[in-house]
Amino acid sequence: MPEETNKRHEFLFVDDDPQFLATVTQSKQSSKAHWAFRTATNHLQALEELKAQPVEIIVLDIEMPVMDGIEFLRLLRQAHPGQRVVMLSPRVGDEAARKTSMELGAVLYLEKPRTPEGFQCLFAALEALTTTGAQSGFRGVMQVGLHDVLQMECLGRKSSILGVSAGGRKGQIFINNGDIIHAEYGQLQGEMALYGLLGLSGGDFNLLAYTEPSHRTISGQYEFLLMEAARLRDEGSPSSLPQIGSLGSQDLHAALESAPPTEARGVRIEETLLCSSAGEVLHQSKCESLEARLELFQKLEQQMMQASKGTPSGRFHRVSVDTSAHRLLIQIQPTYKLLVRSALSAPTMQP
Amino acid sequence: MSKSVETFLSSFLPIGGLAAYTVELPNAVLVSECLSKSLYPVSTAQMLTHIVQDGRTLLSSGEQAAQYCWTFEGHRVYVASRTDGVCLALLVENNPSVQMARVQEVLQGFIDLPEV
Repeated sequence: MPEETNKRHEFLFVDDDPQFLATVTQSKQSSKAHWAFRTATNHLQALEELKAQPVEIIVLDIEMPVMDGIEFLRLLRQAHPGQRVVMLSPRVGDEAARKTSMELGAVLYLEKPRTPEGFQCLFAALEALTTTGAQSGFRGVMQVGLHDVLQMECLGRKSSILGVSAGGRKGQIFINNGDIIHAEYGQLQGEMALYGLLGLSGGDFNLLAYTEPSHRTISGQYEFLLMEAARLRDEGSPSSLPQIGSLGSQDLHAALESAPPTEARGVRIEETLLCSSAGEVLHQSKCESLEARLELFQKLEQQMMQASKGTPSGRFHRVSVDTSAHRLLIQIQPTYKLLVRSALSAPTMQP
Repeated sequence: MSKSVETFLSSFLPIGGLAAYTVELPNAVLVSECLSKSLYPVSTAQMLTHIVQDGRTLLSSGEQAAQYCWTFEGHRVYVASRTDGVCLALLVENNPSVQMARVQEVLQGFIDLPEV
């Protein structure tokens, strides 16, 4: 996107702390040719700045004397409707402030950075916001922005609910103290819901006040989960099945029923089996011996638990086996087990 | 370890992100090396042995050469299994800094080695 890359982006930082503003203006980002940082120490200065020259994004400290960030945000909403504002708060646990900010139209509510890493996160978020307009994508953040916001929530050890909606469907990702603990998307729950949400190509998201989910369905490290989501998105997997992660269980069943042989890609699906964690068969196609396959799931789960005992490798997720003629994928997740065997029409060996 | 395997592996090492490796015959370990200080060598070697053995049961009869990728939360284990039954297992960290191209080169090169 060369046009976007060269476009000039102006930011106005509003904060009564001159040291914070000095850190911002001395940052590496402020020296970027296409980034311009302006500063104001109170709302009056900020309004003067906006009158002189509009900015793309205002970064607003929530705690300021005379008129605090939320009051100023309310004022901005009336005086400059459509102005994108990122709120910064030193007390990220203040859910009431977060909720009010988001209701008043803030595009992001972030922890006020105090460390170089914190500033990096803030600038990454601003960069993501500048890469797309406010009228499409995730309310001004392109699809990858959802991933970034989730990462920031985890890095900051925050507790929140990331609500996502796209195409009339809604989902939620629960983050507790920086850990992704639960996700829901349509009828999906757990990792599959998380991967489905992170695989969406557009929609809206909101950071909501944290409440406990009815149960915990995700226990992995967030770094791994985000990597898996990226991998699945890149591969369109699991195992070349169409957008499996983004479907509800009914849709998933239908997709599996109708998944056509993918001759054009040199792969022909020979066998599929999808089970619930309890071993209930949700879908099967050309599965010669269900009993043997269910035993295989169970055996593999036990074997891998035994194999990784005493190591920091953690939970087993999946195995893929490639020979010159076949590919076998077995995925064992907390909410489902999946086996896909396919035949390759041309000999390939890929790990 | 056989000279050819030793020469082969030393021509690839070190590989960024490689935490341990093992070379196994169907009933014996030829060599096992733990390269990461954050892993216990004994339990790591046992894990790789288990995985190599368990992987053999996933192959259909008649299929011998295969490549496996076992994914765990914190690590991945790549296994190259030759037609003569000799296997190379590589334990790599589950992060983006792993030199995957080198890992894949080793696996394919091991399968293509004329004699072990």
